[in-house]
Amino acid sequence: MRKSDLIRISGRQVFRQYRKNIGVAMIIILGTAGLIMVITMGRSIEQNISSDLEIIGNATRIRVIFKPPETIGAIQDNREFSDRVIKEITRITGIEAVAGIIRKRGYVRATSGEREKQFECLGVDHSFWHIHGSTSLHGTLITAADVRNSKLVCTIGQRVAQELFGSVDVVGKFIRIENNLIEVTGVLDTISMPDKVRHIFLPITTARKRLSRMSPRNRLYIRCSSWDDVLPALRQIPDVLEKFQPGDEVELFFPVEILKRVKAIAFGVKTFVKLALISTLFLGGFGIWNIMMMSVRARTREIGLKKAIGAEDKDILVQFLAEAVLLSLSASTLGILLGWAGVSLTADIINSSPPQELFWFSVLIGFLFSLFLGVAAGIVPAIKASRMEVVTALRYE
Amino acid sequence: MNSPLLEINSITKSYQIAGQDVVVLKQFSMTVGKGEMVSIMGPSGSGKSTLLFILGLFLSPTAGTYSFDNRDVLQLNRKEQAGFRRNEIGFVLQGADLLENSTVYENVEYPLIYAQSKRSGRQKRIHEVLDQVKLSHRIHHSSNQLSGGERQRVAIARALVNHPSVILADEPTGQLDRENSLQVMNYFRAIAEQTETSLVIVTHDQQVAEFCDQIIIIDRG
Ligand SMILES: Nc1ncnc2c1ncn2[C@@H]1O[C@H](COP(=O)(O)OP(=O)(O)O)[C@@H](O)[C@H]1O
Ligand SMILES: [Mg+2]
Repeated sequence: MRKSDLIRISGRQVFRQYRKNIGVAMIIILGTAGLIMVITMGRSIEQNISSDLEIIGNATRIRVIFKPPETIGAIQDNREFSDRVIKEITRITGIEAVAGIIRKRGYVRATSGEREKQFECLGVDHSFWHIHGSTSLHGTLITAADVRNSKLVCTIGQRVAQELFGSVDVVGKFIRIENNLIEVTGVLDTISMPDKVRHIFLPITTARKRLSRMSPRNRLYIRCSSWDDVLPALRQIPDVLEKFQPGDEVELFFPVEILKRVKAIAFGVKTFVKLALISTLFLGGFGIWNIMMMSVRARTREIGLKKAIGAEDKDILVQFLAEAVLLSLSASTLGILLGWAGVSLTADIINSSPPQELFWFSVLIGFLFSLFLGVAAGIVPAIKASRMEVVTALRYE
Repeated sequence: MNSPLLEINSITKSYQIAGQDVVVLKQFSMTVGKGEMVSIMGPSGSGKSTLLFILGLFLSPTAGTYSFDNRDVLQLNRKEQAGFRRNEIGFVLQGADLLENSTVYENVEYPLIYAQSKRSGRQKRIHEVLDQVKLSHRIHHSSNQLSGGERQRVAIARALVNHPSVILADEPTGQLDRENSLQVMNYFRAIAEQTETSLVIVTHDQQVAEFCDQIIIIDRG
């Protein structure tokens, strides 16, 4: 049989009988789409979940401070993290951001018009927000440019705004601290740090230059890309310190229990999803096998007839095989389209672009798998059909 | 009579039924000449279909010889048998078996597909054979939409399409009324005369048999 005839005949068979094939086709379509989505978006989704959990449990955040000095009654502890150390820690794989902070010892007096109150005050990097998953209620939180240019701006907690201005939407207003006129550019939504409603945040550079009695930069906040990155990062941070700031020993704080639980849940979910997808695809394969087996029986007469008008065993074999492969390939093509739509949609929702290479890799995997499925599920029925004796087939009613 | 096309000699065929050999054909011989029309008659169960299956190489006889165009065709392997069926034989099966969910055109095309004939020549040939059975106007109808007589005529066109040397027809008029039966037999007659194709026709019907040059009656054993 010519190849063009083979494709024409089996295509006709598969699509004219689409009612019979639609169930199996759906299974393969969904299985392929799911497989593509999991392969392509798995890591993005995991990172997204980690950043959501951030607000609830800070599962991927590490806090670093210096070990308390041995000598009792030390007058002043002036240790601080150098720029170099911060840069090197940022470089560790799996670490997304590092922020150092400085604190006002005691309180600052802040005034606005007639009102004067005392608040706590921090000097922060712009990455501080990202690390804590913070967002603003009004305006913008302190930016990289603010830090770079030591701008006279601040972000304030909700209570600060209430107490100084009597309202929350106070962007563009000014407060005075130690004779500096400072513009309020943002009000913090303190849902991510409920203990900071009465804090005033200045760019770390500004706070250092303009305010008195600031602590050294002796505290770091670190955020990892996902919970899988936390433990490796914990091992590497002391090494960096040992290398660039020898002698200064640190203590690391991270949410052990939360991390353990989150990891267990994530592992469970991932395993479940993968198993479900693999079984879906095998179900599809089994469906094809079943359909082909049944159709060998139901099409006994057709087989006999075709042999009677001159078909060789080989012609029947390739036809049945081609039908199985065509069914699984066309279903998985639709599945790939659906998977692509799903990937784009998910990417839109979680605001990350789908990784192109992973996508094409998953398309390849999907195609090969369905080709394998078609051949594996079709081969036994096809052989059975091709071996059928014409007389048995024609006498079969 | 013309020179013989096929010749079978002392053919015996027995089936195993419940461990016992049941003889269906016993020492049966016949000769069919080129362009000759032969009818086979006999009661139901006498082995008429069995004989046609042996002639079409779908069954091998328990004993006896079969030569076709002076070739011993019982020696052919499976692949050669398929080739023999494609090139020498046109089969019209009992009950006008057409492929369902396929058009008249597609039904007649199948033998050409299996013979790997060129696509360019197919259409012309399919029109030719459908003209011979006066069905050109039905060419794109689905086989499910045809009447019994029309189905039988499609089956004949399909048997003709590869220019066979002999057409084997198993009760081609079995399910047709008188008028349609006579029409089908007229087509067979015309085919035999115009194309030198031989015909072996199994039938119950005396009037159908009388269209033929030779009537062979088989009885059990
Ligand atoms: N595959 C088979 N196995 C056993 N017996 C068979 C088989 N095929 C046919 N027979 C028997 O052989 C006899 C002849 O059958 P058949 O050739 O179909 O007769 P006819 O076509 O003349 O009615 C019948 O009795 C039938 O039951
Ligand atoms: Mg019969």
